[in-house]
Amino acid sequence: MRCSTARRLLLLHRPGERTAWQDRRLARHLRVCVACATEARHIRDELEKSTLALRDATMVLADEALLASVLSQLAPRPDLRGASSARHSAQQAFRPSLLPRLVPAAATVLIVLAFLGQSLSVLARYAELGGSGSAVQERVVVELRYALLPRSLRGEAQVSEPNAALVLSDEHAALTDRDLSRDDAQRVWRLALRSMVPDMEESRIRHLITQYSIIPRLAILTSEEGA
Amino acid sequence: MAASPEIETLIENGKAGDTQAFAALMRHYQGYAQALALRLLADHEEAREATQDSFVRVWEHLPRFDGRAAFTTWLYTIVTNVCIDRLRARKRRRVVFVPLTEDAATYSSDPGALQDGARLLAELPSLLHRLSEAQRVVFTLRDMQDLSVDEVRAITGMSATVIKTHLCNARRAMRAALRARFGKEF
Repeated sequence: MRCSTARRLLLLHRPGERTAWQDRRLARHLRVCVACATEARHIRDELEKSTLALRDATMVLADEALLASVLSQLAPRPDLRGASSARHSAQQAFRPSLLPRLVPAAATVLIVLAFLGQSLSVLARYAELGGSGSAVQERVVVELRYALLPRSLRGEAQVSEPNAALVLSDEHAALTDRDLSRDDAQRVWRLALRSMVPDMEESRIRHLITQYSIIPRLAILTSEEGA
Repeated sequence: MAASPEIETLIENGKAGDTQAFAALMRHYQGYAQALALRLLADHEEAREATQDSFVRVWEHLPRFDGRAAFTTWLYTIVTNVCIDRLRARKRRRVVFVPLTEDAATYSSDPGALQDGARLLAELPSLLHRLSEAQRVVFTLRDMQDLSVDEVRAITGMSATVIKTHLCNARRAMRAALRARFGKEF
């Protein structure tokens, strides 16, 4: 057995991780290789010590606030053991006398939906572009956040937070955390579209840039992503 | 691992829609679930949110739990999947500032430092950052949750060979990272 193989097997130190055949070969190797025998002791000690320390450091106790929060989110499910009483309760809940109480709630929902409509229409336009960050594979990425708004809403948009996010592969890290000029913003916007939809026609890109204003927010992300 | 009769009763009552039984079930498993989330995500607040999401999913899918797998295996599968979703979303969207080079010189070589739980917890994100998603999941389930290779296989759907390969690489990386942080004799 080579030392490299022995070192790899030494890392599988917990019961049941090596086969009996691997154990025999490893033991034979350790009898004749002083360096690997020394390493065997260190590996086992260090891994066991660090694992215990990590377990201790990340122990979590029961948290009643979390339990209460979960319980408040549970969708009701009919209690199958008392189906008849559940049906009775459901009938009670929709008595006409309760309807007036539902009216303010329904009005609130409508107002909220109308309010959200503005944002949703913007997001829908973003989705129309086929945008998604899932194509990012590079180890270093720059995350650019934008508000994407029709020009007619530009005035109102000055104070709004970005509600569409684009993630680009970083070919242009030179655009660092400074305010972007309008030209820079359009250039980055063009790159974003190209990144998301590589075969998008130039006329379509021009149309989108013309029709929508973008409000750039820029944050640099240097992330060593896992494989 | 078979659940005790009390736990089985709670599961059956939870399936039937009894929220009190479900609360008792959560109380029993919340520590395990949240520890798993913390170990995978290395962020207290996010682990808390992931635990909440997981239990809501458990509630939604409980009627379909057929008992073929242990309840803990089923629960851990849900928590792991929720955390993986979060890790992937984090990779795509979250702004994190991570130094490109590790400056080992800024860390003192203190043999006792590993026993400092607060410091170790603070180091956890950068330690786990060295692992791929699969390595992180396997390492967490096997070494930190102390599950058997068979249980890890049931949760992740990976083969035993793949699990051992990830374990091997993860332990090597963690050992190197701990040595860099805490010195050779940590």
